[in-house]
Amino acid sequence: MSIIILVFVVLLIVGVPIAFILGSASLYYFLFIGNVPMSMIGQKLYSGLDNYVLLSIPFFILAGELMNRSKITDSLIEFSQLMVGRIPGALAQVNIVASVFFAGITGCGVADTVALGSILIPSMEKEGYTPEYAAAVTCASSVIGPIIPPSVVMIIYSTCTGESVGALFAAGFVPGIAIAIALMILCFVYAKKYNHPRRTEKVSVKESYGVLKKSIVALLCPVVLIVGIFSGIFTPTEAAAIACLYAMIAGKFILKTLSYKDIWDSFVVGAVSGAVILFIISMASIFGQFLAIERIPELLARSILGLTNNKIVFLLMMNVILLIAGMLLDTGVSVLLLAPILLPIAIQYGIAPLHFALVMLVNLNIGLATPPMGVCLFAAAPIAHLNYEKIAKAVLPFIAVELGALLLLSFIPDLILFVPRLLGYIY
Amino acid sequence: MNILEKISKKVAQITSMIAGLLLLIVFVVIFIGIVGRVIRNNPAWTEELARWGLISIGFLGGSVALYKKQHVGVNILVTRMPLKVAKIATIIAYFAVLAVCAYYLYYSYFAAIKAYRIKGDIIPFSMMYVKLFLPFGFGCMIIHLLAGLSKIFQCKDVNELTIGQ
Repeated sequence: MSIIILVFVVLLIVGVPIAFILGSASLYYFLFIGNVPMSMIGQKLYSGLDNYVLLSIPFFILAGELMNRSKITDSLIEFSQLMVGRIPGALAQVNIVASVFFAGITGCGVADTVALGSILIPSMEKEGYTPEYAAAVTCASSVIGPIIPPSVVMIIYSTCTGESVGALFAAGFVPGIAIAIALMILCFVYAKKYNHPRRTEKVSVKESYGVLKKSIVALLCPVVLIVGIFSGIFTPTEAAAIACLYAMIAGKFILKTLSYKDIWDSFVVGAVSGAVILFIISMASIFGQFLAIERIPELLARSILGLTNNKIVFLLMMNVILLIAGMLLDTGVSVLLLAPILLPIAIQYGIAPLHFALVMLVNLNIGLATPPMGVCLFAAAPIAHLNYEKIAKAVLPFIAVELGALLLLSFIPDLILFVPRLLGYIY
Repeated sequence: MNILEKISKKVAQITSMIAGLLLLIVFVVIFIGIVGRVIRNNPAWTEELARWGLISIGFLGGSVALYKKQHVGVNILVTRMPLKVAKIATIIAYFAVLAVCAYYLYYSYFAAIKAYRIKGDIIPFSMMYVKLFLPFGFGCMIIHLLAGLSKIFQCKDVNELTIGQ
């Protein structure tokens, strides 16, 4: 066992991609330690992906790509400006609200940083915000993307734990909006302290109607998806395909910003970027076999239960572990590696599976913007023309606020479970 | 550009086209399923065909992602090493990934051949052809890895050394 951990760490240090580390560690186990027929490898690689729900992963990526290429982001920003432009620190508030809407389309944190950041960071700088503040707001608000449905990470979580995708989507609303409100309050405080600008003139009804008309195409997409999934009209996979069709029709025929070449290129991007996640899932299924044979989850559960019987202490421990994992690893990878191990332990502490799922996902996503390794910080640095360290320092107050929201979500389960209960996913 | 790099580039171009085309086919198949359900004539084969497409996309796309260095890894340590040390670390990484691909190609190929007589649950088509996408994907990965390995020695920038992103 210690050799496998050593293999894992060495390969991680030398820069081997996670999927291949999982493959190498499992291969080492099957070749030299475990008494398992090697023919199982081919079977496991195949069966790891033989799941209809997983099809939604390339399709949600495709939908996001189509939306980005059709410049739908611009209309979301205009609509957000209409909504919150008069609040002090208007553009910072717009950045956060646009992230909430953008989350309903792509569900990917880094995509949010790049798409919204490339428009809003330069605009914020022009209005007198410091570039590090603009980048920090963008990174911190990107965390919302994978929490508000639809979310690729939630589909991965569902695949490896068996939790309902619909229930996970329903549970994501309140945490996502809670984080958005917490960030907006912090921006309000900053705006008062540093006299950040806001829109002073009123927008006429005619102008408002114009903006709404332009952005309705983007705003309707998440509504169609969410209503379709929650009402049982279509499955998450079908919803993802419908989102793609919607984006294609909107981009090609309504907004007229999408060419046939863009559509074809988006299919290639969707297939390749989706395959990155699918390949990890396939390798993780072999790794999961090794964990199951060696009974690692049971051993880990026993040692954690030996440390404490207290649910609150356990949740605090999980918050720290998951935040570190979120900083170091890709969110999807962390979910694949940790969810099957930690969920059974959480259940033994009497924590509702859905509550634990969201605590885990929120934690890992906060890691996306947390120094020293948060991916969103690296993505924002070239956009803001800043070095990484400056953004890392500026983002800390936002991370503190997000952690405050996370603690509330951890210790008041009803905040998470309220919507799934309302929709009949749990009783 | 050496011969290996040229082959790797061509293979990546072809496989990315096939992966994109497969996603397009799966997209159409899913809509056939939705429409079929609406008109109460749900064709049972759509789900099975879509799953087969997904598996093929996973391995073909996975090989393209290796060419484009899109696989997720932790590169922060390698990119902060001195160039010579980083080169040694990357060579170790390449050989480790090559070994994984070679073994998995071998075992997935035999799993595919063994499935020759097995047909799909609904579609009467040999599973061997679906399962052959796995060794094919690993084969493409080996080509990209060999091309990447051949470039390491001329590389002068630590950031260009990595296998993944």
